[in-house]
Amino acid sequence: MLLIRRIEIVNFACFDQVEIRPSANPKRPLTVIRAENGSGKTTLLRAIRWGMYGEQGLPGNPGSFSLHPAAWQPDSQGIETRVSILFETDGSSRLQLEGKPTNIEYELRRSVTTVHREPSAKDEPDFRRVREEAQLLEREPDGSWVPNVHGVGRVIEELLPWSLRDFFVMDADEAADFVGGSENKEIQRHEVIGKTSFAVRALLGLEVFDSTAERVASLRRDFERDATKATRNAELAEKQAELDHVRGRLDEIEKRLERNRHERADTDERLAQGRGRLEALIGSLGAHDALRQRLTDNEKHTQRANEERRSAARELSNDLTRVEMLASLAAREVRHVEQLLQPLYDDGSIPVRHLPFVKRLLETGTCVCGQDLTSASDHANHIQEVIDRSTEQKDHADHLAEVLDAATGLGRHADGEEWADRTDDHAKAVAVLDEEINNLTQTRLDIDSKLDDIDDEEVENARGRIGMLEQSLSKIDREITSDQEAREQLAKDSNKLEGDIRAARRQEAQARDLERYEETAAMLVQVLRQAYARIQDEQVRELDAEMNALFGSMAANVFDDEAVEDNQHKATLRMIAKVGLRPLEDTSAEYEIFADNSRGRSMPPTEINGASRRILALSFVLGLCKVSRTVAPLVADSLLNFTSGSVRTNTLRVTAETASQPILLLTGSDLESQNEIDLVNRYAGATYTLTGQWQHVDQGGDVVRLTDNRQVSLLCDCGPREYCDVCERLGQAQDERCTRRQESEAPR
Amino acid sequence: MSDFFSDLLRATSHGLVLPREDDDAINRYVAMHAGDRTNVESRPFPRQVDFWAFCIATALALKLEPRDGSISRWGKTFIYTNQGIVDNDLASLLAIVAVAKIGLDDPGVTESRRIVELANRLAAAGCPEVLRKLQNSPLRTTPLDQALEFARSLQEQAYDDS
Amino acid sequence: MVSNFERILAEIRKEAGQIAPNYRVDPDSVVNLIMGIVDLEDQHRVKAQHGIKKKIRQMIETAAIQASEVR
Ligand SMILES: [Zn+2]
Ligand SMILES: [Zn+2]
Repeated sequence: MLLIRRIEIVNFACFDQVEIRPSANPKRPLTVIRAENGSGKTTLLRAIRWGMYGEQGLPGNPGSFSLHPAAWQPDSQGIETRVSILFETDGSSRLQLEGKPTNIEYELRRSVTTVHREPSAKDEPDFRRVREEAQLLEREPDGSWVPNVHGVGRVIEELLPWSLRDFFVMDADEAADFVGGSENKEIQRHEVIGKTSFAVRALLGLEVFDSTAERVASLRRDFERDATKATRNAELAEKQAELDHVRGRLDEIEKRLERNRHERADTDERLAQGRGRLEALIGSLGAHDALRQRLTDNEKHTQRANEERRSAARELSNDLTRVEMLASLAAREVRHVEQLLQPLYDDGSIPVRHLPFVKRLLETGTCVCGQDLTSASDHANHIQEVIDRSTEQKDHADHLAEVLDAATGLGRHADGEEWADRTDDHAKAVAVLDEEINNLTQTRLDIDSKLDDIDDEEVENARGRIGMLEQSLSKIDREITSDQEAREQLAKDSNKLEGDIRAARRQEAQARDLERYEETAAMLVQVLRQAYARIQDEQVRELDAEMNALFGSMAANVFDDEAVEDNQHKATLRMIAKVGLRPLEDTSAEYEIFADNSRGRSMPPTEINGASRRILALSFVLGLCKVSRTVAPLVADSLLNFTSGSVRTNTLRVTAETASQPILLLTGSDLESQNEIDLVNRYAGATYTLTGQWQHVDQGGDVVRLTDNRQVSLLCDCGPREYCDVCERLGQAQDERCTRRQESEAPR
Repeated sequence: MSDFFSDLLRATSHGLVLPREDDDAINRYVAMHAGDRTNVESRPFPRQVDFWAFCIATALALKLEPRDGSISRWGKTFIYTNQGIVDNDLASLLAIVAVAKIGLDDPGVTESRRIVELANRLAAAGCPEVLRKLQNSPLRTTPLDQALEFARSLQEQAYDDS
Repeated sequence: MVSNFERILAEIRKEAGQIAPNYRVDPDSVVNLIMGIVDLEDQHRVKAQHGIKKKIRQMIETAAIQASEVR
């Protein structure tokens, strides 16, 4: 157990003098430090890390990071930077296994003095640090402080190992490395596995266990070899050499197996990526086929529409030749001819209607008047004359009769209305078809441009890549299988040799003691290995369940507000059904965080989106602390970045309820919604606000008052919806949700 | 319906004539050959005789005087009537026109020679008007549209007068 | 962060209780021996210890001799 009681920072970069007393109240374990981006959050985190770990807690090359105040003018005396961390443990350290039952208070003090120096090269800093001191003081029962006998490095490494710094002083971006990196960077899967496995083994205490078992096993082999030597038996020595050789090969195979497991993990990941990409591409390929079909349909429709249009246009062309139209243009002439000829028709002159009648009179020989026409007479001559004259005019008259007939017929169309109506219909048909053809053309252009977007070549490439990866995967698998078989065989050989050697040696008196040692060591190895296997199995299973539960509570009610969908190809929070931790292989001490979808298919963590990875990483960190019963502070920056809505609320709630001493650096926008405010009101035992003087309104910021003329960051006790003379920002006085806090003490 | 007039025109061979000077222009608006109906928009008239008939109707609607002078001086025969190119409808219209224009006092009014001659002279009179209309199509208006539009406007003039 | 160690200790007790009798040795002395070795190993992990291998070898030898004398 470790709880921070006080952090004091003096003359560290933008901090003049700052003191934080994190909450140590188990009912209200949360400490909230409200700080806008750029107001000194990162620097605060660095100051704490430097306090804990010294130079190695700073970024960049050793000595290059300037931790003295920005305003410091180099002078001969220099300036002292100091960080003091007061913390408390319950003594549950392996160093004091039999130790004190009561809590122990420690103060870790680190200080360094920066002095001026003349840079010898251009990009060299104009300062150097001298007199770095670190002291670990322990409070005696009488209240006095005495230096701890084990020294700073030892105790800090014991309590807060450097390699696990992300667990205690965490930039959430770095914590995301446990699951393949943050939103901004990606790391390779085998590195993820390495990092995860180390954290699991270290926090669960497996690391030391494993190294102990390894050490005892190696001693056991030494005893055995020495026992063989002691027999001075040549045959045995030969067998022993053979055994050593077998063991050497076993080691080689183990190493190769591990290498291949890593390669397999990486290849798996690339394969999953390739398949994802191919799936996306094939999705568009399906669309491709549908588009091709539409194109064919479109072509058919266009062809038919064009044919119909051609025949409609032909109709129009034929309309130009219709006699009704021509007659309507000649309407004057048609009417005139009708009027001219109708009387002639009426009076019987066209056609000459009396001619057949008169002709028959001549044939019968009697006129209508009764006179005889058989012999020549005037009357007969007259009749004959009429017949001759009429016959002469007959063709002419017949012609005119036909003309009248035609004129009457055409006269009916002379107004041209019927023709105009029909032509209109034909023209409309053409217009409708024009419209249809236009639409079809537009559609075709759309389809063409969509088809252009789909890249057949890319699909082929993706298939090729997958094929190659599958090949190399099956090669790796074959190697692993054959190595596993070889390992089994070699283990058998080695057991047999051990048995042979032991049997042969038994007679040798000198070897007896060593034999006993070897036997004892073998027993210890057995105990250690079995205990180890059980702990690993149980705790990993526990951690697995814990992670899934934590993840579930953080991802609850995610439906509406997965605002950050950063990568289209990546799985979103909603798609994840189960998460957890599993060993990479039954026998290995390597672990991997996994996420399964609802169909039970595993998605490599690097294949899920940034927001989900962050939640997954946090559930790992919190779960591991819980399962390992680690009671330690969690100083976290950017914890709520890339989350929103209920995920943000859940994350804050779960962290407040699960972590032993969460000290969270949050921005105003992290705390925008009432849900988060409610959580802070409920769980926070301490609140602070960090204000950078360089964010004053005169310098383009929104800090209302300038409290200090220097470029420093000031800390006040204001909660998320409070403001005071130091931290007031534009708009807070008008915001009815905010209240002014009366300053009871001078700003720190 | 009898084929009285078409038979009349077929009985003797008379040349159908359009102005020689307009020959090229006319051919631009007539289908290239029988059955070529792919380009009806730009070549709205299926045959020259259709163009010829349209010219006659145009001349009548616009009350144009038949072109005078010796036809052989300005005319170019594009077909002969004995080839049966003039159907009965058109032939009867030509006969009507002859009666209207020549009058009953002239016995030649029923002669196919006189009917065709009058038709040729009227076609020659209407031809420049038709070509002028077709050649001055506004943008995006095809000769077919233009010819139809022209026919409609002529219809109104002719009908209002009659 | 080392609270978990109690759990490890419990597990070692359990295993020693089962395995030690096969070797005709006292489980408690096995547990003590193992915890002694683990502690050395843990110190070594935090800060490298000189001669750790030799120290552990001697611990095992002493334990083996004591066990055979008890037998
Ligand atoms: Zn009579
Ligand atoms: Zn304030």
